[in-house]
Amino acid sequence: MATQALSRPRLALTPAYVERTLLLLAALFLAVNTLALTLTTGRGEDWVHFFVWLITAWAGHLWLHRRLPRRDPLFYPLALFLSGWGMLMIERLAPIFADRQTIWLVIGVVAALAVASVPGLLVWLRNFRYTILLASLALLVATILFGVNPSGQAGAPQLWLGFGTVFFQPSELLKVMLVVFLASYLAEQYPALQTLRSRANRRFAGFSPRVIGPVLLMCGLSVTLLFWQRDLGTAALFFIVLLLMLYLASGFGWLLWGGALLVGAAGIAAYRFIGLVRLRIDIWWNPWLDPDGSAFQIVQSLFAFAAGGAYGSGVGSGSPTFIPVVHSDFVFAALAEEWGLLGIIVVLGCIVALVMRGLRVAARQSQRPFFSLMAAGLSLLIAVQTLLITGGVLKLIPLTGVTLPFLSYGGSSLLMTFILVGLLIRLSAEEDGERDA
Amino acid sequence: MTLNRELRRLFFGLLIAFAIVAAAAAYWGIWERDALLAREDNPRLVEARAAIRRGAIYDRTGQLLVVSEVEGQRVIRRYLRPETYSALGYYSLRYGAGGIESDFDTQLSGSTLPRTVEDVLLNRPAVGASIQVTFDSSVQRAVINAMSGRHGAVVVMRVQDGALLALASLPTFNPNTLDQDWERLREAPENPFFNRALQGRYQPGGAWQTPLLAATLSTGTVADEVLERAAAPVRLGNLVLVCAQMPSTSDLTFAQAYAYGCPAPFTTLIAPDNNRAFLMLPPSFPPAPAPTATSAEPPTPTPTAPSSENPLRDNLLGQGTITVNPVSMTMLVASIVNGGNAPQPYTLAALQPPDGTWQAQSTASPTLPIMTAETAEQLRGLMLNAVNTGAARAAARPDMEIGGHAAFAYAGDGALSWFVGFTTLNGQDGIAVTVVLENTRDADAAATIGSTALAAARDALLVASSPTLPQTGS
Repeated sequence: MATQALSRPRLALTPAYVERTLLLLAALFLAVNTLALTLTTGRGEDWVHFFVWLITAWAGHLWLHRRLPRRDPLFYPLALFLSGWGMLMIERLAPIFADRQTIWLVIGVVAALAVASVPGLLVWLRNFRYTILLASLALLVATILFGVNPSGQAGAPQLWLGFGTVFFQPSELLKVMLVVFLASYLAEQYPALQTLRSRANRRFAGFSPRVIGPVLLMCGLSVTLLFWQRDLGTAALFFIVLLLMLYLASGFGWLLWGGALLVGAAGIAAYRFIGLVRLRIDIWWNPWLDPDGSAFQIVQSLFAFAAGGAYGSGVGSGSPTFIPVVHSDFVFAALAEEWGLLGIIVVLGCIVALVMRGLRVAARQSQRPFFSLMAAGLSLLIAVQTLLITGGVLKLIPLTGVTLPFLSYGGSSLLMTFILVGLLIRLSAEEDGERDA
Repeated sequence: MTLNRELRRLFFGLLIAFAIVAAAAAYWGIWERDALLAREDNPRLVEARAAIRRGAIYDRTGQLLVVSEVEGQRVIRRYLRPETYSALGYYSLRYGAGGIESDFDTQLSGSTLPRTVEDVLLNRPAVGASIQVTFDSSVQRAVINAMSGRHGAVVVMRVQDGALLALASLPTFNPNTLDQDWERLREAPENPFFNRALQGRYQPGGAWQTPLLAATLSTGTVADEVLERAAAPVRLGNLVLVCAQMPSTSDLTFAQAYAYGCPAPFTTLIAPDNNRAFLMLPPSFPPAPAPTATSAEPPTPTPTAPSSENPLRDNLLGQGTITVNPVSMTMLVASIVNGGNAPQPYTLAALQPPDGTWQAQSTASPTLPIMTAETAEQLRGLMLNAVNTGAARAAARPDMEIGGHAAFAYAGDGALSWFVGFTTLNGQDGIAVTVVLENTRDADAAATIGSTALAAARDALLVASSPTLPQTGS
């Protein structure tokens, strides 16, 4: 009793405290940068977006505090920080889209909170996996038939469904639903997979067609439809996430090497038969052959990294708009130019933190394979998508044309990324008490 | 448990992948930075240059010659006075800078000026300093008008300190439309980009008699000694060189031969007892103008002059391998007024940093000794005589004391007409001028242009002896 009385009370790092502190830091960062942007551009309306972000972030925090007190405290502030930064980037790079991006951010946060709070959602997702995936695929087919491009440019990929002035990209929905489907199906097959593994007890154990058949069918269909649409980046993302989730569920290491070989072989075949792939690989291999023509975008991206240096030129003070469509696929390069290597490391660090917290949730839920695989799959989706686009922008790999989660312009992408975060928040709360019905 | 092992492997795999991305960003942003930023196809270079608000240029009376105006996102450079085009050069985002714009590029672009913390933080484009040059618009205008489109060069220098009051080179170009005209100008046979005053190296021909005479007089030779057949023509290859103006008698003194621009007496300097006069010329004569004061671009020789099999004789005639620059010739003439010491030319009078006050620039350099004061005094008299009675009579003005010398030279298939002259203001101050006209044998034209330039310069200096600082800001 005496020892207890003398000891100092420990600082209570409750999820709410951590989340609140991180949100305040994010708000401070955004306020300073909005001020810098206002000073540079002389535009005052950026503050409206900032205050919308602030109110949304705070309201969301209060909601989560009330509904999911035992959630992981990092998902929400990291997502809000990155999406706020993305909103600032859009204000700087393409101000005409800033209002729209801010509205999508609010919708995304609301969706994330709803997904995190709706009781029984995870069970529902698990039970209706085929229906959900087939509905998503139907939307994808509808895109092939009735797809449009919001820019209205002739020859631009028509990956969106238009509803008046609102456009939605079904492939963004499909990628989350595919993870849900895989998590659900592989969780169901998890005992069989483990038995197979322990019985075979050999490195190159294989899957039985009964186990792998439905997965290959559904994923093959998805990838085929995406190839049809020439949405090669999303197709590559699906394929890699599929391989990684299969690896997680089965523990077969050969899947990774075999998958890498398959990607290589597919790349060679695509290089021979698909002009777009050939062009992108040629540009990746040596962009300096045609820096003012076909490789203009990637060359300008590299110039942006060079111009940014270690600390960047400051928001609004660089020239990232030399990069065509910078606000979408190349927002990472714009970030490098204006916030430098320091900004790049901060963004990568935040995404890594988010992914690692997701994998942590997966590890903690290892006794519940559906939750575990879903948490891991959603985390991998963010990680692989980030690696694909940042690697492409940095000339590490051929450019695939996917968005940078949270930061790129795009309502569908932002909405689905927030839904993904909502699911992760829900899964993190599941591990610590709040039970899905 | 199994799942955790796979998760752990994925965890480390992803960490490595993200580390590689960060390393690639560091590679392009740090390691390859300088190489990428220096690439000519990097549009940021042009954009950065386009955003710079270069300083204005004023003449010595404070008149605005060049100004940068902001139009939207770009800064447009405007050259306001056509008579100063050839003196100022050009500035183009596409083609760089030339002339004065190039010589004072660091000041005009503000690249070496200190910047405020606010400017650095907000990455505001640099604002350059304004400069005041020694050119006088009225002198420049008088010279250009007098040249009437003739091709050639005119240099007008103040003797006291070497300030260049005018610098004309024709044909020239309009720097306001340089980008549109570039290809046409580049291919134009008359080569308007060639600044004849600064870059030209012309055969001096008879104009070489002035330095030769200076060297001869310095040996004690008496200019009044009569020489037989001094007005006789001299053969140079297929050419026959004659006096710039034929005298009434063939026997002349050195002074008379010089006044009429007769070549024959000067060929006698090759004789063993006289050739030392020629050898006494300083090895670097005529002195080269200080590069930073006029132009960094090296002088360019004009077409090869006709020559004979006697190179020493050719050189004494100002032909052969001898070439001179108009600015150098002006320095020589200025030294005659200045007791034998040549002032070094300069063009920057004052500088005003952005948001600062005008600061006079002491750019005058020490004079170069060319000849003795006695020789200079003798030569001065001979040049006054040449205007009064010789080939340079067209330069004479009733209200001015002008000394000078008119002569011809030959380069390629054409002839050059030279006039070098001066007028005194008070004491050792005065104005020196050099005129060289291409493809013409018209000593009167050269002398008339020279005297017009001297009169305009005198008037300008009488109005304002020192540069008048501009009243407006940058």
